[in-house]
Amino acid sequence: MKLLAVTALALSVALPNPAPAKSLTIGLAAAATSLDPQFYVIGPNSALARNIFDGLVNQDAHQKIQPALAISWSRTDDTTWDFKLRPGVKFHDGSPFTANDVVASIKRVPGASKNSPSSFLPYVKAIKDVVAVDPMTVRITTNGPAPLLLNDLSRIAILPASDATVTTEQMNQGKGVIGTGPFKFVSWVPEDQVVLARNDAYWGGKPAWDKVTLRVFKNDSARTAAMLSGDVDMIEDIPTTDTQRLRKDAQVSVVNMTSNRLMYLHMDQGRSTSPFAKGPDGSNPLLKRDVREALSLSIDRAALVQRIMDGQGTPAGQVVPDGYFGQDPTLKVPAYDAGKAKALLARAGYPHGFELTLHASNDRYPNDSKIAQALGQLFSRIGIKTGVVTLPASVYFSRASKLEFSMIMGGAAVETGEPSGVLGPLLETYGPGAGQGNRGRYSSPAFDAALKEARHTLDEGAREALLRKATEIAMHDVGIIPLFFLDNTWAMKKGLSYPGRSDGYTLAFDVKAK
Amino acid sequence: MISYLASRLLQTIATLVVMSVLVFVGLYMVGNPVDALLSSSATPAERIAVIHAFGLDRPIWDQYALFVWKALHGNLGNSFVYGQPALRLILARMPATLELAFGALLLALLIGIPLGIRAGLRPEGLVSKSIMTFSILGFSLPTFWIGLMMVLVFSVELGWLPSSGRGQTVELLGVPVSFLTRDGLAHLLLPALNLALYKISLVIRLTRAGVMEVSQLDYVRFARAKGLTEGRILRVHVLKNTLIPLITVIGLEFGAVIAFAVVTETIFAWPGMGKLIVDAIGVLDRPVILAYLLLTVVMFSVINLIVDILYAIVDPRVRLAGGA
Repeated sequence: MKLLAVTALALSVALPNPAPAKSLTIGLAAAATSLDPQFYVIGPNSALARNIFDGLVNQDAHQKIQPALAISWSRTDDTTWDFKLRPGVKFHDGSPFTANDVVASIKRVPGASKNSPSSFLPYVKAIKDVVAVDPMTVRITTNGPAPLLLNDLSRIAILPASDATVTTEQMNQGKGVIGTGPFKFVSWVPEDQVVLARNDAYWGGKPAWDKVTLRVFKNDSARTAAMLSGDVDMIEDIPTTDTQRLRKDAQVSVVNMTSNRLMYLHMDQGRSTSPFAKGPDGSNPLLKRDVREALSLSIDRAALVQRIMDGQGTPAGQVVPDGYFGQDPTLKVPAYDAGKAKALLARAGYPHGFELTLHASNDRYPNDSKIAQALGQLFSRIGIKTGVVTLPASVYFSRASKLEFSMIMGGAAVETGEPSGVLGPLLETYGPGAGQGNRGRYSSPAFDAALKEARHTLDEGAREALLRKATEIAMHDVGIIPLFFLDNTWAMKKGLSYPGRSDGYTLAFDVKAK
Repeated sequence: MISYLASRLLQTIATLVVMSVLVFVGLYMVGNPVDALLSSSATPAERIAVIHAFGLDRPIWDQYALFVWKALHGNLGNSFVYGQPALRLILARMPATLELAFGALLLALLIGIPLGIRAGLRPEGLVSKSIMTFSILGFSLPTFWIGLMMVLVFSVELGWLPSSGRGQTVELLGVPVSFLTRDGLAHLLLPALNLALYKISLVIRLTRAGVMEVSQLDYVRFARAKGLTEGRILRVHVLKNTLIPLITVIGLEFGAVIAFAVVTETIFAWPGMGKLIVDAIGVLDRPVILAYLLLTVVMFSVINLIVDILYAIVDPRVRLAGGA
């Protein structure tokens, strides 16, 4: 063994090196908690997994579905889908990719979910069965029509069938971290760094980097400092306070892209009296549509984005950004109009306003407490006596779920790439299996009906129309107040380029040297 | 000696029990970790399944009893977020934190004692006054600000030292350490110095006060009258008696260094335990928080024990007796 190594060394010295090794070091803002791509649904884990693994289909930079390990698919009836697999693909260990791997990977999900804080089970819920028709064809049957099947599949990493029995714990020790993606796994120091090496046989083209090191800098200043000192070639998630400085730096280029995360306000619409919203007679003013619209119109969204977020955001008038499936072009961002807001308040019977406390987290979203303070001032301007209370996320979300507040601020990511992924949790009538994140208890039978129908409509055109209808109903009722979409940001050395992604993932494959 | 150790052990166990009950009840009251962990699109059924899997649906005394039972078998529970044994997660990060803490301690002693002696021997000199001014700065400037300034000056502007991370490590007795490689040392210097600043100031002040006090005592004057060299007086008579309070304070401070390391670790992206615990608190990852705090109790107890023993060695008048 030793002799072999010495010979190899001698050879490598003797042979002229064709090109210098290209390595890339990226500073991430959050650490992956596991190497198992099927363990925990959370951004940092999914982003890491996308460097190593592929799905049958992948989401592109704008969350549109693109062929990946499946090159085409067709539906033979409402519940049967056939996927043609990409030929000639090899896993990192050299074994060929076939239909058996797909079947094994999808069937591994329940096992990997056992101790997961947030599992992948929702993404395989629609799947009734998956079989290998031949080595290059997979047939998936669903429980009823499943228009979001492709979105679901884009979340499921495909592992070799030999990994079917590998546990999450074994993967965390580096065993069986084998995918078909652009980079091979090399090493992981939790909370610190992941090292990846180029997969020369990648089906999507040769990656530009021999070695990629993903380092974690949770502290915003530390991340910026690492970029400025040259410790890393690129960082994600620029702190808003440092945006201007990095933009001015001639050695650094900055990329901004509207993200899929919507910041919104939930208002208590489920009770006649509410703990933190009281009219002169003690009743809950938020039950009135005019009041909710007044609140929405009192918000200067453009100023909020410019002043508080240093421009790192896009004002929102609905739940998905421009260019997304189901985005409604007729819904405009509500224009700031304090005069109209006051008139609406008077019409609703509150000419002198009412008492309100806005609750928000202070460590969950960028500038969350500052945004809440600004909102409090905007509401006060139209005569609503507003107090603002911010809490750590660990306390805040528990209490919000117990309906201890009257008006809360939250953020929701459009994980499905279309509106139902946000409309369902936030606005559907609360009950077993629905409206799980509906902490405002908005309820509209017409909205529920449109959303439900959309979930079972396979025709894209009809589905998009239904989603728009549902969105229009909820926005007209002011079921929630959309504020803005956060921006995703990256900074990199001049000479590097990154197209940016709305899901915020930092994928080394897409980082190119100019 | 044996009765002394036994009473120390009992004290430690009592502290562990009180600590674990406090943490358990405290975290129970703060909130439900599932709300922080689960994505907003999870259905109530999934929520209940997760709560059940983590055992959070049992009554709190039941959860505590289960925890104690498992702890007695050496299992402090699995982290909710990592799905791995909490103790292993912490122990894997401990070498990095301990290395940083020892590095800081070493710097504090190497820099603090000589400066303190100098300031104590000639308290009125300009050099001594400068040393004392520096120590005031070291006391009063916040660690995180100094840390950021260090990064700004030495990494961003001058480019001498890396701004973050641990650098290359080598195995020493199976433990990865970085102080044996050049790259590792370069990475260690700034964070260790940052962590040491407060300690340096403390050591300077303690040493100065001790040296000034002891220099006035009769036996030192007598030694001088006997014609002993200044060096010998300093080493044998002054320093040895100055060391006694120093050992106590430094021992206690060592625990604080490990605790304060959180700030330094965050600024320098040092992969130690501090970062782990901060995140664990953020998502109420109870097993990790518990394991960390229990381990801290054990560590403090051991440090105090070592301090007491050292004390007895340096000062022969001190006897270690049971119930002390």
